[in-house]
Amino acid sequence: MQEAIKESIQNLRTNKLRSVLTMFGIMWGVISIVILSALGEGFQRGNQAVLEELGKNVVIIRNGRTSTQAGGERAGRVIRLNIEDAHTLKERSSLMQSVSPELARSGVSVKSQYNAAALSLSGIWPEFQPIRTIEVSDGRLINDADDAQARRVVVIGGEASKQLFADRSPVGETLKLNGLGYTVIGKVRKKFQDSNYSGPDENRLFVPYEAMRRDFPMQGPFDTPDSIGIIVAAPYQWVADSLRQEVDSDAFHGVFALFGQTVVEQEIRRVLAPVHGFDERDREALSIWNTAIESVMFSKMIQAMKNFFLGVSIITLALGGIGVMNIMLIAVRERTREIGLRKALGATRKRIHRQFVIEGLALTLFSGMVGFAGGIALCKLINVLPMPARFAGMIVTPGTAVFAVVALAAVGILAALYPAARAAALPPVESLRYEA
Amino acid sequence: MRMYGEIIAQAVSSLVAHRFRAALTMLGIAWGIVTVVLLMAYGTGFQRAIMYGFRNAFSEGTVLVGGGQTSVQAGGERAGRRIFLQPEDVDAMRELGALKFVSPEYMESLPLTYGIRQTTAGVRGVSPEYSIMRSETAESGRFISAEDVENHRRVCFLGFEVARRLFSSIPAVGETVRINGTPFEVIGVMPNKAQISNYFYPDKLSVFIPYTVSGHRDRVDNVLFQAVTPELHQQSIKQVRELLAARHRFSPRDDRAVSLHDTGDMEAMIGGITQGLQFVLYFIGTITLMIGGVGVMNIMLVSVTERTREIGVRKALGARRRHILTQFLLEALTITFLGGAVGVALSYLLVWAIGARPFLASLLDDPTRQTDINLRLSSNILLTSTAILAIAGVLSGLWPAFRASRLDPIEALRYE
Repeated sequence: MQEAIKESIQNLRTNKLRSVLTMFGIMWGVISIVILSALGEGFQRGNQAVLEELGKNVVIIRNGRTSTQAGGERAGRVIRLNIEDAHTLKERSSLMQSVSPELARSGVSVKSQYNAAALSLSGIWPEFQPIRTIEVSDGRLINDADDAQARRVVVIGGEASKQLFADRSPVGETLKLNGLGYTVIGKVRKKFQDSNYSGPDENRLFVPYEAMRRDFPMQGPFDTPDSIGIIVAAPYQWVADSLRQEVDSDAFHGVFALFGQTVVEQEIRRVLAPVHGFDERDREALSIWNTAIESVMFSKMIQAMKNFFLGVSIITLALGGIGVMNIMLIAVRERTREIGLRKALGATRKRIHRQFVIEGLALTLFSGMVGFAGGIALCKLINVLPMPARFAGMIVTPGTAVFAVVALAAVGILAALYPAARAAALPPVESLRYEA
Repeated sequence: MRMYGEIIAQAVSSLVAHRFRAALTMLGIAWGIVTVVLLMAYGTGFQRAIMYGFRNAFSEGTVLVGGGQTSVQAGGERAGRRIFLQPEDVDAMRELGALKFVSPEYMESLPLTYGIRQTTAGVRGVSPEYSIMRSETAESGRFISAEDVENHRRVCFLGFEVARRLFSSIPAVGETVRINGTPFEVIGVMPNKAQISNYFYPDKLSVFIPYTVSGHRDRVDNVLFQAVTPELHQQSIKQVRELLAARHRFSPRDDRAVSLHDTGDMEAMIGGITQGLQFVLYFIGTITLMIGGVGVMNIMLVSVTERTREIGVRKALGARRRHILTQFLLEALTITFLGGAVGVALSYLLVWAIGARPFLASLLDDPTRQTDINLRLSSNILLTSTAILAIAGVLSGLWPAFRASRLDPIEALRYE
């Protein structure tokens, strides 16, 4: 075995230029596998990251208007959410991991000692922060005690902080919200959010729900102090996964058919319908935005892209394999006399066969490894450049590495098999007197 | 000339003599071409799909202006004052010479009823120019006209999904719907268009009415405009900002006082992403084709070595360097172009077989599948790949041919 490898290396070295050219083919095949799958992965993660800035699979429930009559009441009645609905949903829902009300008001006059602004305000439960990916770069988040005691504390969005405090740290400063003093406890980290339902988080202030309810309740003619306008919720991960299966199934008929019709929306309506007296099949009674649908569709789209890239990279590697096969065939021809001699001296078919397979494999695997290293280096190089939104840079996963090695070995063996068989089948006597 | 014919004949006969080897090498080239063409077609399809979806939302050069709040103090006032656009602002903008189209937009989420059917839609009060700036076309009927606006007609243009919810498959044009209780005549319905970008409601779920009949007309939610020519685009944005700054007494440098959303910026961003992707795809395709070229070079080198004695004989019989050079170069080019032709044929077949790759159509509910990646061969793609092929062929043929032409006849004759 060892001898066979040594011989292979020697053979490769005698035809240096030819070997290098052949190896280049395989090398490039592997580089293209690495680059293309890293590209797909980068798109996937970049998209996921941008979507999750709004919240992972977050569901946003807002006031709706009935479109069918129910319980003796005519269609067209406005369904208004209140804080009891948030409690009810939290208690009775089996699909939701966490729920929070969001009592929002826009155009609140906000003053720091440096500047003033008119901003949007949201009163929330602490659960809201993980649901909606509110994370602080400075200070702390709102906690249960803040909410229970209705403390006048505020977490401030990045842009809002910039306008009110310029480059100073806002934590510990006091803000006047419509004249009421609130203490800044945290600043939201920079967000790359590209979808929202009532303005970006960068321009928003977050305060405990109980403080909001006391200081800034909703003011519409039909509102009560308990009105909230918005409930945000996050389902368990398995719920989102089951949605993915539904989309992948044959029964799927486009995304509009899905809106308002997944298990999540159905359960929300089932829980809240008896409270408000609407028909639980009425899709418009509540306005429900299930972002998991978009998330699944996006990942489906990117999966399609990844599959295409995978196909192309396999083709490219196979092309390298053809080069190896061609060169091996020539090697067999050139070395006909040598093979004849070996056979005459007692080498079996099997031995000759093995010799050529090992030679092909050595060529493939060695250049494949070089290609893999080259691919990773190229990815690193590309990652130095600034990346566009929704693209997380080139990401090489362990899965890519495993795939590359397996594909490489398969190509190497397939490319070497035929020339090796031809070499093994050469008749010794004819071969000895063969003239190239 | 007769000599070149002979050289070609010789090149062909030597290829025929090494059928299998030549076929494998050609396969390499064909394969390379197929990869280049497919990747380029994919990149172009990606760009086309995204631009199609984006163009359905905004036509070229549309700018959206909305209210905001001051962030720096101006004229003795503190920052944080809210700015709302007013109908008079729209009139003043119409006076600006740099603007071709101007439309106000009043937005309200309202209930719509037709008989017992009921739904909620985004109602947008707009002017006729709006249809050009937002690519609104009618599948049946028409969009809002200048007379509708002038005469305060209660007419409406329905988004596809709104029409479907209220009318199912009944023709909607000519019927009367109630928007928040007030009767409006349906004058048109839009096709089921796929749009990538939207605000307020997607157009499918919107209803368009003359702005002169929308309620709450003291505040304009948005003003959309387009410059007379693309060259005046930046100029027009600056003029609008200065006009509004003067009318509402804020500093023209305060970029948060009004929100100016230039859809061209987004288009540039989309362009950047698609160009980045196309660059990577072209790069990979080109190098893949180069591998095919390397295969040709490899085979030619082998062929030169094998035929050393033949070359010696030729030289001894008076063949010149350039004859030998031409002979081997032609052989390489023959392989390359035969392989290339097979590759192009294969590409046509594959592109036809693959057709559309899923992309955005299911996400955007687009029955036309225009927002999927439609693989199509353009003359541009074919020209580019042929050019790359020619370069690969010449490069890979040149070195072996050069080596052959430089062989010393005497050495070559006694080569074993």
